[in-house]
Amino acid sequence: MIFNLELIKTKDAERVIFNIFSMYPRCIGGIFTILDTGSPRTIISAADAFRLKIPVNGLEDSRPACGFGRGGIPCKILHNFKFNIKSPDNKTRLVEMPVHVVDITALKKMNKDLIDNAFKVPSVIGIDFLRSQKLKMIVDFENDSSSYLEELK
Amino acid sequence: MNQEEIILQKFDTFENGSKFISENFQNLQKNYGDKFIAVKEDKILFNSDSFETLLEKLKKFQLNDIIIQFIPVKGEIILY
Repeated sequence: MIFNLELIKTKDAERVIFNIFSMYPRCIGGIFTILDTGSPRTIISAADAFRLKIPVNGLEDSRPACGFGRGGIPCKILHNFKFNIKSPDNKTRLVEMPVHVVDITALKKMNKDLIDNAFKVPSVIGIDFLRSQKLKMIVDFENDSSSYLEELK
Repeated sequence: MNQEEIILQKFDTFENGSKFISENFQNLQKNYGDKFIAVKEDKILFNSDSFETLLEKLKKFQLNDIIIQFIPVKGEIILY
């Protein structure tokens, strides 16, 4: 089974995109994620957490998400997040794995610059996803249709 | 349509929006650089300098079906 990747190909912003679809109860909807092999963990952004109303109250704190030029963004860990991934022939696979979700409640108590920056950061799907789902990644910037995730044999 | 088919249809709609962003990113950077955009299928519903203002404009919409993205002019995304 393979799962297509999309590529953004501009000079200053080449990116690998992978679409997932949240099946978490009462938070059904798509999430546009950047596939980031430099990130050990999957992080649901502030904008997506807000948009899908992912409940974070009562969840365990996790290490804040950090990036260049930004302060730490407060996160919680959602141990049993559920989402679908879809193959080109419309077969879905339900994934259940821990993800880190930006803690909107804590974020809103922070300074305005940090809040504004946090909402600009997209959701990221990390190495934890590839490892837990036993997927390998093929990326070919010369040929869009040759970029995909494939199950390890 | 059963529940599974409805989910699949919503997933397709979402993927169309995502493809629209990926394929048109250069134009989006030109026209909406450093702004937030709200996309459904191949349409930009609204754009705004701030997430809050964009939400105001989206008041009547079901947010689950919409992609909201910030369009960076350049720069890296590094999270860990």
